Amino acid sequence: MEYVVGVDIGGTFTDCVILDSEGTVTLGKALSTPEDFSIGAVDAVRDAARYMGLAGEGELLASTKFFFHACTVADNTLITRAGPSTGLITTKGFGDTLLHMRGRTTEGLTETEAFHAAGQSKPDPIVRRPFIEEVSERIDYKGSVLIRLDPAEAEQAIRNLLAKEVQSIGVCLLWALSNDAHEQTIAKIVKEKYPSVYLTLSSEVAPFVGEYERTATTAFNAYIAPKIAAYLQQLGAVLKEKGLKREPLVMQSYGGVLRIEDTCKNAVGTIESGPVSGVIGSRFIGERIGLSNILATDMGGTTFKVSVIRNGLVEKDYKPVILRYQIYLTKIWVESIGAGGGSIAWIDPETGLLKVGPLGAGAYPGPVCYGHGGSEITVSDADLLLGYLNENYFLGGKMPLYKEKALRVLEERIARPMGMSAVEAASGIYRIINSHMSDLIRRATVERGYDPREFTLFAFGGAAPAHAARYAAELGIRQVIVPLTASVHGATGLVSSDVVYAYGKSEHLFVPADPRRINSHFSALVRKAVDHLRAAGFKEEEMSVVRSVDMRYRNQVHELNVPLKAGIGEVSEEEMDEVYATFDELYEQTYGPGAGYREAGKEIMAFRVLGTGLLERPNLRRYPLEKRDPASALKGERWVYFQEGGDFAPTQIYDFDRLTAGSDICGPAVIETPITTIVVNPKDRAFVDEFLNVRLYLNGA
Amino acid sequence: MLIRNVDPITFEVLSHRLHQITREMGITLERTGGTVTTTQQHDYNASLYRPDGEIMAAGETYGHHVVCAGQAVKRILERFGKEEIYPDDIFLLNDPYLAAIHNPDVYIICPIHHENVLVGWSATFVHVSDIGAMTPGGDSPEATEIFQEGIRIPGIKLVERGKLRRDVFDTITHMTRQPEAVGLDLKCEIAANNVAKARLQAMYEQYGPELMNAISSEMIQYTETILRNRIREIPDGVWSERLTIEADGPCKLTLTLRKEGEQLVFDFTGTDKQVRKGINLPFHGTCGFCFGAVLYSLAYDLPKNHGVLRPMEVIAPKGTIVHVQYPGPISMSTTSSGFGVGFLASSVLMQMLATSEKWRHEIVAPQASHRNCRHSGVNQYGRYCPFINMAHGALDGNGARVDRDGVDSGGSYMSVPNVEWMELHYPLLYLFRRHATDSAGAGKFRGGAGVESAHMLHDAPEGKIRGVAYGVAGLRNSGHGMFGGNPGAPSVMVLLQNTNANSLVGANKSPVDLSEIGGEPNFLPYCNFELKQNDVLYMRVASGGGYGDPLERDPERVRGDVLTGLVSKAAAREIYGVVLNGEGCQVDLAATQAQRKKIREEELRGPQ
Amino acid sequence: MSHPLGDSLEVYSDQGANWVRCTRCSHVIARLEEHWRKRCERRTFPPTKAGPLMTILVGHYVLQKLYCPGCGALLESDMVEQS
Repeated sequence: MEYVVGVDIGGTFTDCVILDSEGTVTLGKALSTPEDFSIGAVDAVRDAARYMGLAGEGELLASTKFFFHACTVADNTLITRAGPSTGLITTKGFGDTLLHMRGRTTEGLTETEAFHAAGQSKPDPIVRRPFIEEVSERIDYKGSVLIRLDPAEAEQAIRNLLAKEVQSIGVCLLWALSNDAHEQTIAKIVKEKYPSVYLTLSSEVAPFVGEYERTATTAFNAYIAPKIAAYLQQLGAVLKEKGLKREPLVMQSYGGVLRIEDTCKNAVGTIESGPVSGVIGSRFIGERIGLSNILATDMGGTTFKVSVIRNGLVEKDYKPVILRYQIYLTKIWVESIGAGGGSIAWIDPETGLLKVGPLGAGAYPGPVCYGHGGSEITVSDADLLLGYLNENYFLGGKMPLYKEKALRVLEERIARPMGMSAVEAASGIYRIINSHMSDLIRRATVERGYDPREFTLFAFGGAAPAHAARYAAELGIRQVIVPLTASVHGATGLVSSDVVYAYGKSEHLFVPADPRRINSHFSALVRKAVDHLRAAGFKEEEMSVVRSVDMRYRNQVHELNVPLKAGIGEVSEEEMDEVYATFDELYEQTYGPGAGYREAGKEIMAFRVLGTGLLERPNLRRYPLEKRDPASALKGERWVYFQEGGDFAPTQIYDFDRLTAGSDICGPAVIETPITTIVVNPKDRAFVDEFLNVRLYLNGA
Repeated sequence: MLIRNVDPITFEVLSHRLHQITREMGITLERTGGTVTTTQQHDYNASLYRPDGEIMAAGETYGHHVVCAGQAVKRILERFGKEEIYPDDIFLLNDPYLAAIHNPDVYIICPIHHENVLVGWSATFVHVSDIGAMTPGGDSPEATEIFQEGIRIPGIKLVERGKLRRDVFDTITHMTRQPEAVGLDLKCEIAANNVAKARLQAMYEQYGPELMNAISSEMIQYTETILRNRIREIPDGVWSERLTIEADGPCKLTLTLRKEGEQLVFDFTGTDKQVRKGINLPFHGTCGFCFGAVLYSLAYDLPKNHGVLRPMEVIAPKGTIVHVQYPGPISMSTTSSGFGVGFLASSVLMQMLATSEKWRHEIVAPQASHRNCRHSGVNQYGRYCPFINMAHGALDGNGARVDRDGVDSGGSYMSVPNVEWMELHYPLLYLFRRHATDSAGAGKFRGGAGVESAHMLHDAPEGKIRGVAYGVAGLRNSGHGMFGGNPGAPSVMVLLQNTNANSLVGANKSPVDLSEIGGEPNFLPYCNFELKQNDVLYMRVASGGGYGDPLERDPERVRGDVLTGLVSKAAAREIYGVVLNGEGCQVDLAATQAQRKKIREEELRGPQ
Repeated sequence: MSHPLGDSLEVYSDQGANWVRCTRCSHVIARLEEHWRKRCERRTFPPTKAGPLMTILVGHYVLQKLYCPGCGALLESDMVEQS
């Protein structure tokens, strides 16, 4: 037997998914171990091995064909500012670029925060000013050297930083994307004389126009690279010792995996790679059941996230905001707001209006009903009081919930001051949080020119299945799917990923552009991707290379990414004409008919290549569909609130573990699984499919 | 209960949704616009209005245009009458004597119908690339009357029943220096209004006109009620502020705020007569800037709508700089007297907040804005560009707060373009762009440091480009201190002619030191100028004013500022009274105490 | 009636009148109806006392500082036109 293993390290838990050659899924879980994450990783594998009846993790790892991995080391390092002392070298006169942040302080804030003049701030700089050195040098927009870099001055700058005990240095010089000679001069000095220093060049991690975003990317990479490298090397060594034959593959924020060595070269690429794995998992499940338009929604304790998969392609973001910095990073596009089971309901003391979130109660003490001393009413408390959650079967009964306590606090803090009944208050909380989430999904679809009704919504995260049917219905979506693997969704994504190298490069060309320039960029990028794929062990027929350009109308700032037809051959003028036409179409599709204005002229801003090494997709076991009366899975009846009747009604409760493929349940009903609770609303129907996913058909769809 | 006619849950859900629409309009403008002010500086309006032009939901950017676009809606209603306003029409208006503030800020106004009934309006503005004024880009320092300041449209149908009027569109764009760029600007406004219309109509469809109308009037009522409550809690009083703008002589702006009960009266009586220079402001603009100041201080967390205006009264005598009469010139009004009025209004409001224990934490030391410049000329690709906006105001240092320093280069909602972006598109080379040492106003909490920059020509085919100097001219622009805090360094714009910059570059030296760059300095008033080979334009934007006595600043904070280069060692000693020793700049506490005592004693003894 | 008036002053009522006093030394500076600024210790300095970048104000403005007459606490600094 051979295995595919996916290990996803989150803040609290490390999840593991094992697929054997027959497609049987086994899950493992362990506590994350921040002092050395590799311990938790091995623990999770051991947990799964135990379920499979294997002697230990060694036996499993020795027969493992692929070991996929996603970690939060980059995110933890950034959030807790736990990186090593880091220095930055910039062009003389421009050392403050990272601190200016182009002046805007409101990126990544809520509307009220953004409007609050007295509350403005910039985030703590990743590299503080005394650790930024400037060197005399200047290159212009054409890549011509105007002021030569003096190696002696460069070395002095390096020494000044080393005197401050920096372990990692980032270099971002103006126009290094057009001519990297000066960055390379610095690299040469570092490699020859100070080889123990981690070095990041902007021309390598972010060869795109725009010094602020490029500097921020360089600084982020310099800051997290030593941690990522140390961790992954440790993990690789431990797994090898335990018998793993092929080195682990690490998830990147654009949704593909890379070898450890390649990951370390571009550590910034692992930012938010955990949630990204979940999106890849959605695509995988979508492929299996024949869906290509998916809204992947994840509602956990504090955050609600949405990603879009359209025509089987995952939407990407090339300039995401990370911790209020804008960086150049190809990343699966995820939109999020502070909304989850732990979101706190409160009454604005001045206006008397009921509000929910964006603050959350956190994991501890958490909602009132957890009984850990929480004193703020949360969404989970409302869910419990409305009858959606089972006080005796939360997390499969592992954790009792305190309904009386929640009711008392709801009455005291919300219902009475609002002049409402407890149920009105609880259903108000439920409605408000659902509308916040549907507003976010509206942003993710309608704002991008997509009709949400053409999508199927996937519900992940502990809290989503109790809410998803409502926030989906608000947008006219007709089908919601709660996948079988919802609880270890990230790890599921891991086992279904490919090896992907993503490369890009800025050059500004007016349209129609000289095909020689286009081909010279593409051939360099394609060569790089193909070489790396080959080095990773892929044959030509296992590779897929997609080329694209970032385009805009002249003088605009925001680009649209336009794909070329498949292939890696020479690009002809005719093919480019098609690309230009596609741009006009994409533009109107995104911004509305008539928005395009061809007379302005177009320009190309960047070239991109995605080189994919196709890995074999694991099987998922199919269960025969049986038309069986779900009554055998009935575990009881309780009073549950539905807004249609405006009141509680006796509602049937089903045990998911006793439902079989093919089961059909008409709402109103509640399906309880050991990890979550699925609410089936009055006009909806639930169906268990052949992969044991629960599909909700809304409003008689 | 503040909400009477709608259930509070529905109110919360739908008011959130309405504001999402304005946000989406803004994003559409940014993504599809063709001018830096729109795409990177967030200098636009995107708001929704009730059928009569009252503000239903204001977007996330400048407050003044929210008011003026509402005025524009009213003017369109007057001019066309409801019977000539059809579903899917879109109007254009840019006449400052009717509703706009200056001609290049072009309003696009879109009636929104539900089942053939007018249920609301959306309106946007962007600063278009050119408007056919005597100076490219619109701001015309040499204009002495409105007729020199570009095309002026009192209201015209750009789109009729869903069909773009090509004749009108082309007529307008062809009266500008760069029709295709202006075309892109107008298109982005149309796109944003289309978005607003589709979304609002969908809401009417889903919730019905009765509920929607009730929601929008409740929202306004709600904001008004809370704002009045807040005003009532603050002690009554009178506060005043003055500002002198230099435009061929001093032009004095005066504002007195009278707070009586739940009413705020902004009285500009005493302001100088209008001048034959385009710094005059139309009355609706003056109201708009006052609205913005109230919005960002007392109402930042409320639904942003007409309710903010209701407790306000603005008095501005006709024929003054803040209430210009036809045909006075206005083309530089927004960034001169406009930001000046914004400063005055903010300053008196801050003085008012300082009398309330509850509100004093919302104080931000006020700021009288900066100098700025736009260029026009032929770029390195041989293409004429009328509107090369340097946009450095986004790097202003912000005012200090009661318990925190101002944000360094914090700007406002704007972003400055990258140096590389500017150099890619325009024939310029930046020499530096950095925090200016000792620019921040000292205080117990200091202001935010402002940014200084210098640029020169590079690959300019004609060997020169034009420039226009605008903004708030005069020595009292920039941040003002509060309660003992010092002002921020003045914002200046200096044309250095016949410099050594090119020879320094030729000699492989970075021209980052003004004394090495040399040249003959010209402090630029409101004017047109030429940037030629070997000239360097030096700009320093505004810096924040300080809060409280600098001698009471935590010496460790002063040390930190010296280490980051924001404060010089000399200023640390002379202004903050902090004595630092050695390479590591350790604070000498005993010497610091002695120095602080000495400074205060010498001050009280008096030098003059 | 009692409320703050900036950082080091407050307004309070006593004997049927409202007064402005220093919060640091309790020195009563003026009745509220008067211009309290006129009752402060007032000193003027060259603009450069506020920093080296103020040179361009020299000859046009002076830095005026107001102090509490009781304890010398700094109450206000402002650039005012040179008379």
